Amino acid sequence: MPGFLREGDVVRFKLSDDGILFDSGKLKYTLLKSTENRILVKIDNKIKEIFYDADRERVSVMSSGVLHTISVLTDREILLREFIKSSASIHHHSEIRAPMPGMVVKVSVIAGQKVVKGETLVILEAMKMENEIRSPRDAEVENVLVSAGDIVEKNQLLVSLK
Amino acid sequence: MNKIRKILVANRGEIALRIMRTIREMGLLSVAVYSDVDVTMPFVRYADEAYNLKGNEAKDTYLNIEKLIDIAKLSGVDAIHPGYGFLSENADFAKSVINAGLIFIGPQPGAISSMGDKTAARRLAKEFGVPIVPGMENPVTDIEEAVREAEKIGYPVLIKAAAGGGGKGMRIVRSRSELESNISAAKGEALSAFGDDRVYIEKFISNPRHIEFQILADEYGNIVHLYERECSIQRRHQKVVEETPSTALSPEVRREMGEAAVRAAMACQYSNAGTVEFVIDDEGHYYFLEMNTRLQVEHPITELTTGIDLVKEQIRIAQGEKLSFTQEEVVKLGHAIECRIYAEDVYNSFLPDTGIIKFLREPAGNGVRVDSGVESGNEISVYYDPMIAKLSVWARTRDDAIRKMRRALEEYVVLGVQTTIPFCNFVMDSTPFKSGRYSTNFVAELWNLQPDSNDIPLEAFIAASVVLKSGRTIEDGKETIKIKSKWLDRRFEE
Repeated sequence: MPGFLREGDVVRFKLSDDGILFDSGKLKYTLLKSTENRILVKIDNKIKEIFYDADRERVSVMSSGVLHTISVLTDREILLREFIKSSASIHHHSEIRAPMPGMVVKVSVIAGQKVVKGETLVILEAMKMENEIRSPRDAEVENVLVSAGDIVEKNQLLVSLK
Repeated sequence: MNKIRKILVANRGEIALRIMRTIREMGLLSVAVYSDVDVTMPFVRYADEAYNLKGNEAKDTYLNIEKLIDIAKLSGVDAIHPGYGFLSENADFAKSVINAGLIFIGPQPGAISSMGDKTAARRLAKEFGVPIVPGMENPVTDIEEAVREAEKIGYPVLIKAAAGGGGKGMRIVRSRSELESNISAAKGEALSAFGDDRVYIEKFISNPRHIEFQILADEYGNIVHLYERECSIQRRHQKVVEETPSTALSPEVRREMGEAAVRAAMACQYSNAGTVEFVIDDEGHYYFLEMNTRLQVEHPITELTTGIDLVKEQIRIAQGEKLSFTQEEVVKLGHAIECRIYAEDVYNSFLPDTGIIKFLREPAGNGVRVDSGVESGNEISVYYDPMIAKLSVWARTRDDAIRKMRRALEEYVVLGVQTTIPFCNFVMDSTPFKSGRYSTNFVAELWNLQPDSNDIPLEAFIAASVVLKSGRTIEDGKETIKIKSKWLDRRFEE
């Protein structure tokens, strides 16, 4: 069984009829019931209710009030991701995206401008709060894709840095 | 006396539902109004009648006075309850309700305007012998004046919206160079939240505690207070955890502040339910902050410790009844705590989260109260406040109440959006909260943006295996589970 795990850790496992086989051991459980967001299992003499949400490769569970999210990937998917990540870091290019849907109140930078880490790039209003979107590093603004008054969706590209 | 029979609740979510429940208990009828996206929410079908406000933006719906008055006339109600937020502290709305021949369940428009203008409220409180925070008594007119006033008060200073409340338009400024940009940001926020961009500057009190007193006043000059609520656990100047009684007050200070709160209500000839907010500095001096002329979000903890239904009292007062108890007859028992469950990512600066609630299970049991406004399938949208519910507990002692809250938080299940539950757990477990020695700096000083440990529970692997077995193709019978962080700053994908 995997012991204490940290962010970024990769755990290999195989499925068997009565549990999960890890390199380090086996987690045995009996599946009693499973519905869309709820699983009932028996582990030794404890009946556990597991609340989960699956979205593509991501599986989230809520345990003691905390939402934990893990990604379930095949070896090929992991390789593909690592390739994308390394090619992106070669170009040292960052995309600043909207963390939530909202309205652009102010754009504080223009293309070509040098910015320092922590400098405000865009002010985004959502749920009546003004949120300052700051630069993650010292960089040059490559492109500004929004202007004041624009309504943006979550993850929409706001500014690109180089 | 105009007996109320039917009430329009000009609000949404948990507070609309909470008000309608009391309306039903009193044998009266309720009318809901709703925006397009809210049609499937529980409060809409709880009401005896429901009317569509058409649209989603707050200004087209819950802030649209004309539409609300039209629906009130059409549905034949006698009174309107504004809840909190939206139009609850809007004197023009109260006037429009009265001009339409209806009862506004709240104070007189005059009291709303004098307390709604924070600078006017400060002048009034001072006049009635209630201590105020040092600072401007009039709003900022130009930047040079602001610079002079801030110098005079001494940095750090706090910029506040004159029409303010709820932390909107509020900014801490630590030096001259930050002043101008913060004034313009505060003005922007104030304008969009209140339609009024006036701001003023007052002394920023370090390590303050935020304590408020609940007031009930009838139309015949009888005023009582229902003791305090401690609201110092805040993020973005907005409360997340509240409790009563406060661990900061001695019996003498409590009595003094209660009397000051009653005087503040007297100053504006207040009637109905209201809340007088104070800050207490680290030397124990208290100052009047503002009066909220409405039902407060955190009112359940007062209800739990006094047994008084504040909404019922509001309706009784609004139809001209006298208070049915005196100050001496208010009995306060035990300890109550409230945790606000918001859709927010506590590991990412408490940014609001949006999405559909895929699964929801609320805690229950002895001493647990849940004021919830949503159910599975409802969407937390970008249009309104991201509150999911308020979880309150009552027990005889503070220690028992903390343990009960911890137990209730553990029972809470919300899937689909991030919530403030992990933060509330952290508060309950923290030494400053347990010892009762904390201030509004709690979040800044103690909350780690990253959790101490991110031990992935076995449940995650079991869920993953069940998901895999029920559909996803398994390559070579071998899958890899990669632990992916939920607390990496997702804004920056390098």
